[in-house]
Amino acid sequence: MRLSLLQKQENAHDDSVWACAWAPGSNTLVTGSVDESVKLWQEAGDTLEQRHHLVGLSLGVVGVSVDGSGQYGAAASLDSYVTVWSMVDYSTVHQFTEIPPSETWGLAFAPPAAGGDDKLLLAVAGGSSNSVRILDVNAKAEAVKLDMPEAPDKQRREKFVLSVAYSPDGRRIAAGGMDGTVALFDAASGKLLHTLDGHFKPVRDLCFTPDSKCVLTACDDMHAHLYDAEHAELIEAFSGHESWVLSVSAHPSGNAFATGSSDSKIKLWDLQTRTCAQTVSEHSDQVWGVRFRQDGTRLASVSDDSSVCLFDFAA
Amino acid sequence: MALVLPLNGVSLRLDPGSVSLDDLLRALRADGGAPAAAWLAAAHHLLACGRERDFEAVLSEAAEREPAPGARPPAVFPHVQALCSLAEFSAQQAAGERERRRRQELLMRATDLCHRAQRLSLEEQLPELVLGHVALVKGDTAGARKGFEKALRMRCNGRSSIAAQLALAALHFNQRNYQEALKLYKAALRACPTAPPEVRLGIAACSLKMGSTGTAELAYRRVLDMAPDCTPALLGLAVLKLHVSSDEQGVREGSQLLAEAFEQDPENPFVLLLLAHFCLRQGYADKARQLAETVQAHGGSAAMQAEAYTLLGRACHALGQLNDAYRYYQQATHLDSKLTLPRLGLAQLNVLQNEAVNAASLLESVLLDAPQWIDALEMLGRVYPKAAHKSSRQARDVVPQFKEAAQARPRNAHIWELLGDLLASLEPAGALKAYDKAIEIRRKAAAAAKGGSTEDGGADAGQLSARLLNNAAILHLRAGDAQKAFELMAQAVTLGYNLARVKEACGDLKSAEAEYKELLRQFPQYGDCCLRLACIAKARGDTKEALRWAEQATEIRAYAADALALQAGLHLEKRDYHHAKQVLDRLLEAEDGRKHETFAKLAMANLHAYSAPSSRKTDKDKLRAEVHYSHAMELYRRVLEKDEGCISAANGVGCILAEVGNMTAAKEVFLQVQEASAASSGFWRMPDAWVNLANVYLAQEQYVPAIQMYSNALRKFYDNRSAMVMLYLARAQYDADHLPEAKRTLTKALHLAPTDHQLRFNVALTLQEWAVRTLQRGKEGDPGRLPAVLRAMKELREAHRFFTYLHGLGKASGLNPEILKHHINFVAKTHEDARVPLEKAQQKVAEAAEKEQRLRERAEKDKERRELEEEQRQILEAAARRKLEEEAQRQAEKLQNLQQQWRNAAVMEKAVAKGDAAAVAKKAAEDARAAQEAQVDALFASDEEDEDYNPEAMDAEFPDEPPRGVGGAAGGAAGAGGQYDDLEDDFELDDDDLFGEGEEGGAAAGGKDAHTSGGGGGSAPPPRKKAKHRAVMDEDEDEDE
Repeated sequence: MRLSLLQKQENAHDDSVWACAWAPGSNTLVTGSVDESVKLWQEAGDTLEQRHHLVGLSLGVVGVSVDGSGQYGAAASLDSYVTVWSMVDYSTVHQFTEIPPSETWGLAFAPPAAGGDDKLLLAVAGGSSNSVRILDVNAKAEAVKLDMPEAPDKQRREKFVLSVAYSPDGRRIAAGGMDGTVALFDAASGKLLHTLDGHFKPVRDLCFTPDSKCVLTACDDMHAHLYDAEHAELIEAFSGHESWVLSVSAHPSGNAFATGSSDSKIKLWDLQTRTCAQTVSEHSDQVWGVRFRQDGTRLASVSDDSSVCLFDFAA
Repeated sequence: MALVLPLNGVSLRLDPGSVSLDDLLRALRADGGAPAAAWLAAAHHLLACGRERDFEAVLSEAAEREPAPGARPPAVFPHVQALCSLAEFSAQQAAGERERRRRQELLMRATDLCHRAQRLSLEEQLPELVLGHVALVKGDTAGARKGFEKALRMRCNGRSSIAAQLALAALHFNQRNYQEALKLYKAALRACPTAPPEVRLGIAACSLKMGSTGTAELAYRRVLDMAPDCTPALLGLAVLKLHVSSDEQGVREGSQLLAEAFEQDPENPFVLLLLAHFCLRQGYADKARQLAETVQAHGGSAAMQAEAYTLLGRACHALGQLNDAYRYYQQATHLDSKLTLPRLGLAQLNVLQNEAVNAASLLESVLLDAPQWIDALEMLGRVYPKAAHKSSRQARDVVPQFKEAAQARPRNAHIWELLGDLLASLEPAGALKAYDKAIEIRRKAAAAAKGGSTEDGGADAGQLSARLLNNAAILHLRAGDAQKAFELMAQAVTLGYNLARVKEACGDLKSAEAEYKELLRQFPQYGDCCLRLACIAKARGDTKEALRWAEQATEIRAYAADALALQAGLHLEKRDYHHAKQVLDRLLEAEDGRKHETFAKLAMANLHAYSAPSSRKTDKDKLRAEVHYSHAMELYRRVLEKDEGCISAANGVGCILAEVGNMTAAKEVFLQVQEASAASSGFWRMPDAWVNLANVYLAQEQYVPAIQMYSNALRKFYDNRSAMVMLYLARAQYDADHLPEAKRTLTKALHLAPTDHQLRFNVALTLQEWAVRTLQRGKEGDPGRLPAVLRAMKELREAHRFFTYLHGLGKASGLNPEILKHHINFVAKTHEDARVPLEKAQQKVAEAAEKEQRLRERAEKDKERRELEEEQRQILEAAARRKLEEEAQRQAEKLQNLQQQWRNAAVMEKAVAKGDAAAVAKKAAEDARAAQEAQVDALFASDEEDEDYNPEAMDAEFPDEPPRGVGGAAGGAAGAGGQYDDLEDDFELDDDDLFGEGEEGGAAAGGKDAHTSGGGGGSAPPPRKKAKHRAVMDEDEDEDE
């Protein structure tokens, strides 16, 4: 398996780029930056072309997500607003402004419900509220709030939820916090199932494997962990980055995943041999986001160096 | 080619390609039958044309024709030939036959025919040869060999023949008795120097197999001289070049030869197989797989199939398709149980699946067939320990092979080590010798590598593994040589430790951790491992685990001091000063604390520096601070007395100097520390010195160097991810009036450390300040100001939200609630006040829009009016023109009438009528001129209107608007300015105080990696500006108390 650079879009934003997400089932990439804006890009002939520029997201964009139908995009900004827009005409669908400051961070749309329930749900890492908020976009209201577990451990002091992810089958929600707590919730009942232990430093990103059975985490302790989600067991700790691991993305085949780190590197990991398959040094500063496209042939990465990189992935 | 048959003295010419079987038979049968030789010739011609069935028919009939009774052997020879040809044909058919019964029948028939031939002539060689071949087809090599050997002693039609030698040679070759085969080939060549090239091919192949590449190459070249298009020779040479001389040129020549062979005979399975080998070697496993599949699909001999399956297996193996590979290897071994390569592959697959026992037995069987095969031996050596329950009897069987292999390779440390492993349980003395030899080889290689020789493999061979040393040491111990064991063991452990240390440094924490633990398990007294494990846990953020490991290390006397130092560092990092002090006291009291005296003193000094109260507002606090600082200073001084170059102590001194306000001296110290750190080329990293120096610049209001210094430190030492340094940088940017930059820096810091309330506060503060400035700035009359005002309002609301949120946290925020309250009120008020300028700006914009609208409307109206006028004018003109025309016509008619009248009237009326006519004409001319003048007037009239359209009308409609606007703006600004001035005072004071809270964070850098260096000092806080608004702040304080 190999990543090869197709394009490095220098100065994709005016300053650090913090978040990225592919629209499912399309080749549209959404990037969010500290320059208080979100950009929409379309891949055409192995290069990204800017399609739209959404501005006015105060203090910078910490998280972006696109829903399963590819119709709605959402961004969480540092002013704690969550903005949902239409991917079709770029109009603002709704802005959640009632959430207190510091109570939003990463976010993730729920995958399309199998039962035909047409609710558009958006999970938002609740920052200092130490919970995960599930927002009902159509109802323009908060649907439910999932509280993180109370850690018995005295070491864990910083209560702040940074990251959230839905499992591809929509049954589970995982959330990671500043103190290394990783919690697993049942999406339907909102019940806390268990915690995944092993981290003590901020877990800034996490994702499920395509089979929804495992969780991958990216942590400041320079490791990415692979957990068995149902049995709450640590399967493997991947070390190799020389600084914080900031972002993680599982390949749709389930055979690989990628990580981005403060050491400016992107690493590609083989899930079968559980070894590092490749280290990419295209960026010159911290890599805040790596995301595989749904079809698995592309990887996008965003960095503090203001650039966006597009890679080809060959299995 | 025509077929010429000698029939009883006459020759018959026939075309073998088209002659029908019946015609041929009739011709042969004529006159009581042609001689057997003619039958034979006809049959062979038919075979050459590919008419196998007819060949068989002709031969069968020839064989049935009994020779004349009592004929002598030479006369019956053609008959023998016919019988043997038929037998050989049957045998070949049998070889290609897959159905068992049919195969059996064919072989029976062949044997039968041979026996008949033998009955005709007992001395004849041919039947024996064919019988040998039949035995081969049956798989009875012993029988075949017997047959061929018997044939060797007989003659062919009374002459000597090399056919038997060649057959026997081929048999030996296939049985891998190359020596024997070569001997036979050579004898054959001697007996018959004009022999076909195949003999030389055989010699070449044997030489190649036996490793005499020179002879092989010569033989192949000779064959090619004789027959330049001999594919097997090309192939052989290609093999020679590709596999034997594996240098680059060899490979190039080999691939050229291979290409040539492929061009000549693209369907030759041997060519394809070699090509597949080549592809596999070059890494094109999928291509190799395709080629091997082609060969396999085309069938061929079992050996060929086996070879193809082996290649398929290897290709799949290389492609990672292990199940397929397994299947192919099995098929290959099934077809040819003597093939070693597929079994080696199977063994590899077994190893992969942890089937060590299976792998071992496979490898043992491989070694039986290919003794001393180094690959198999090495693998076996590695597999044996895993197949632990296997009886050592089998292991003993391969030991001699290992010994021989090792003896043959005096420079291969690996095989010696394996031999040692193998012997360890059977024959310890031998094992020890083997290990010693391996160590010696590795040491030599290492020395050679160090000696500057860049021979490849030197680095690898020179690596002395801890395992080897360890094993050798254990054996020495068992042999009673404890001293030697100890030496080796010490090396082994250190090596292992160092390896783990390097792994740790490379970020491979997981395996480093595992190795430390393994070392600890073996050597529980190896305290370094405990300490490193503590450091790893610390790096992971698991302080509890780190403390546990450190605690474990304190139990080992030699490491107690280090462990205590580490613990102290951990406590300091957690800002648990109480425990830190306890541990440091223990450390200073510890009996061998001497080596840590410097560290302990430094740490204690830092402790004092940190514990000094940060707010020196009361006399009591001031006094306490003074005490702490003087303690710290004294400790630093004592450290420096002992060690002048201790940059940590110097840094600490700088901090204290800065704390007590002696900025110039502090700067001097920090500059020196920075220089010393730079001069050490990376050995002493002292980022604190940079940050502290920047802090001093900031305190001295030298913003540009401060910002530069912070940015450099951030990039150089902190990977751009230290929220603390970013906070300082933002402060410098803020003070330097670079508000947008300050805001950006703070936002980035907040992104890194979202739980840092101080950052959030400062973000709000920057938002507030920027908004206030925006509201102050700009003329009110400027309609372009509205977006800026709106943005400022939004930022004020954000600031308000942030302040309110922080206030709501209460004590948890660590911020002064009074100050927060103050900010909340201020922001609310500013927001409220900003409504006026906002409304004005909005009104302005609305007015401007309205004005524009009105202008546009008026312009439109004017345009309409003009158009209307123009239209009317045109209508009028047209009417006038028409009128004129009508008039003229009327006049003309009148004139005509008059003329008529004149003509009709009397002559006396003539004069009167003439006068009238002149008058009429004159009037008409006058009218025309008047119309022209009207036209010109109209033209002028429209010009005039255009002119007054511009200024006067406007002035009239919007009288003295601009002056009023300007006046209002000025007044507003003045009023607002006054307000803001008041408020700004308050808030500047506040931000001084709050930015100043960074000082606690500044201490955090101290004691980093306490174990190794014992870094002291830490960063001084960015010093507070000497508050110009002290009075107001004290008021706050009073309220507080």
